[in-house]
Amino acid sequence: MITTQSKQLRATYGEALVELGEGNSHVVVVDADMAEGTMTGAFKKRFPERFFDVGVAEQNLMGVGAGLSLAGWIPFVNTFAWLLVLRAGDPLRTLVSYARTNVKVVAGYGGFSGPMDGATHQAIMDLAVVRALPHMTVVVASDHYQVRSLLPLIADLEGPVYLRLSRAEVVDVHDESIRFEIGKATPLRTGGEVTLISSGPILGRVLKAADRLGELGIPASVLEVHTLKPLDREAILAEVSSTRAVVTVEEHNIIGGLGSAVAELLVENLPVPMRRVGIQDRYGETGPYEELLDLYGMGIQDIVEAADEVLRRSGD
Amino acid sequence: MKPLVDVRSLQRLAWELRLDALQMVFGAKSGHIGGSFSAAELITTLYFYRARLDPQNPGWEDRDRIFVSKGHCAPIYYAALSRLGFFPHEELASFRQLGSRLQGHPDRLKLPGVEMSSGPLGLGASAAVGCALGLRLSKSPSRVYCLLGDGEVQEGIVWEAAMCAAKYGLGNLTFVLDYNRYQLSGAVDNVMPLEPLEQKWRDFGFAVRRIDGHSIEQIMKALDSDNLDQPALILALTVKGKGVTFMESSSAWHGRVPSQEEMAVAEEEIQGHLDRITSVHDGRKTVSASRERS
Repeated sequence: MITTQSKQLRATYGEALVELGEGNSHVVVVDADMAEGTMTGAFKKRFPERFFDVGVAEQNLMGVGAGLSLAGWIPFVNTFAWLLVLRAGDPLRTLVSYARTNVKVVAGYGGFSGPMDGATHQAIMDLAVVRALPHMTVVVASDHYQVRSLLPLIADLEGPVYLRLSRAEVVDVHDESIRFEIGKATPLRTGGEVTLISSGPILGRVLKAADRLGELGIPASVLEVHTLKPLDREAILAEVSSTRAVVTVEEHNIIGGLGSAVAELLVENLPVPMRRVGIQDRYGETGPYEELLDLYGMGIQDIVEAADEVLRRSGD
Repeated sequence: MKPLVDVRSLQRLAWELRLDALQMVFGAKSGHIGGSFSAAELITTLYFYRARLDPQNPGWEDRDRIFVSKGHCAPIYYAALSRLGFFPHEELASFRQLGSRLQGHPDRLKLPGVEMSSGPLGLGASAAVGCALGLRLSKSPSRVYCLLGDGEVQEGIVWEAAMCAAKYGLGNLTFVLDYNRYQLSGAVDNVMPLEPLEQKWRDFGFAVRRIDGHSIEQIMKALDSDNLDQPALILALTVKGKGVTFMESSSAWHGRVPSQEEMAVAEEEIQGHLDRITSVHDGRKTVSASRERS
């Protein structure tokens, strides 16, 4: 089922979690007074005995998740992204990442997607933190179809996973012919002269930028790296070796996220002209979501201009 | 595993564990003696008398789960695990050595018998609550125990976990608090007073039992008092560095390593305790070393 009407990604997560709970009796859900925000309320209603609310206590949220996993359950631990990686950072590191427990950390409000609450509620650094934690699998979901597809795979994957979601309203950018695999990048457009690498709901803008580039006579490849860790090195190197010009686009600080991961890979293996489109190491502010993305350098035109610029440099 | 129910055997074992721990820290020139010694009887009684475990099958589904949240007491913890048979006793000599399974703080992925990696204070309380929730959901007969330090309960997560345990009425959960009154930088009462500690735990919804944490009988009795729908806290009054006079009730011995001369004095004093128990033990012909707990 493809979602063509604009809908919040978290709403699909809430529905998909119930379906997962029906298919997998080991799935339990833990929340920290955010069931209305993370959309785990439907799971709570359907499986009250498998739902735990620890209140406004994010450290304990993470610890309880780790403990549940030791008792043989598959806990999905939910709250805002920044709280999971910062407030609950030590339990995340020690009890989940270091202890390698089977905890699924599901981060709501990724990037600017909690826009009206202001910079304190926007997660621009979460991926930098989790990417630096050994043992973690890090996934960034872009649309409804992907959330529904990936959730059962995440439940079946033994070990800690960080899944970044969004409150943003999105339409599906994938069609049902696409099969996702954790750890494998998904090529969405191929044969370009420049490679756009992205993940998350901002992928919709990336595809529009690719269209615009096409109109300007610059065919662009689009590679979706939904699994930030482990990074699909082979797919990225194979794609970039044909274009030799790269733009990464992420709803995150350009320090430590997708752009950094790709840059680290390329600088050691295939140095090519590259630009990182994303938040330029500054805090956001209150404002409408789409306008914030534009204001903070993640506009479609920003992507187009970055692609044009790296292409010029690659031709030198 | 057959539980050890003889008080004198357990007393003796606690002193043997102290000797092991002392030698480990002395050998590694690193580690925590004070908080190991205060917990000796608690760990001994919990592991050898009360808990249902199978060292031959560390992952046995119906085992009791023990979270040693005060992970810095690794020396005495490892000593207990080795004497239970989770790994060879000789391996204690590798404590804090490069490549050892006996890490500075416990690593559940490396060492059999370690339920959860610990060290950063407070986290074990939270994991124990989650585990107790999960076991109850599975209708498991297992109980969950969590050993906490007193400085440790200054951590906010402990109280987050406590609230949660009370909310869910976790009768399968027992916290054991090693109240030795000293933390790294000084007396708990000076660094950050906890009193009225018993009242705090009662107010947080726990059934509290205040005991002498060096009395095997009192620990046994407290551990045997089950609760139906309320988490329990055993407030164990202990002495930091218990057993070596110059180490007792001193924050200095939280993480200090004895010199060669201090080591000789400490070993002699602990050996003296062991000899006294043995001589009394030998005088009582009827005491059996070990029998099945009824």
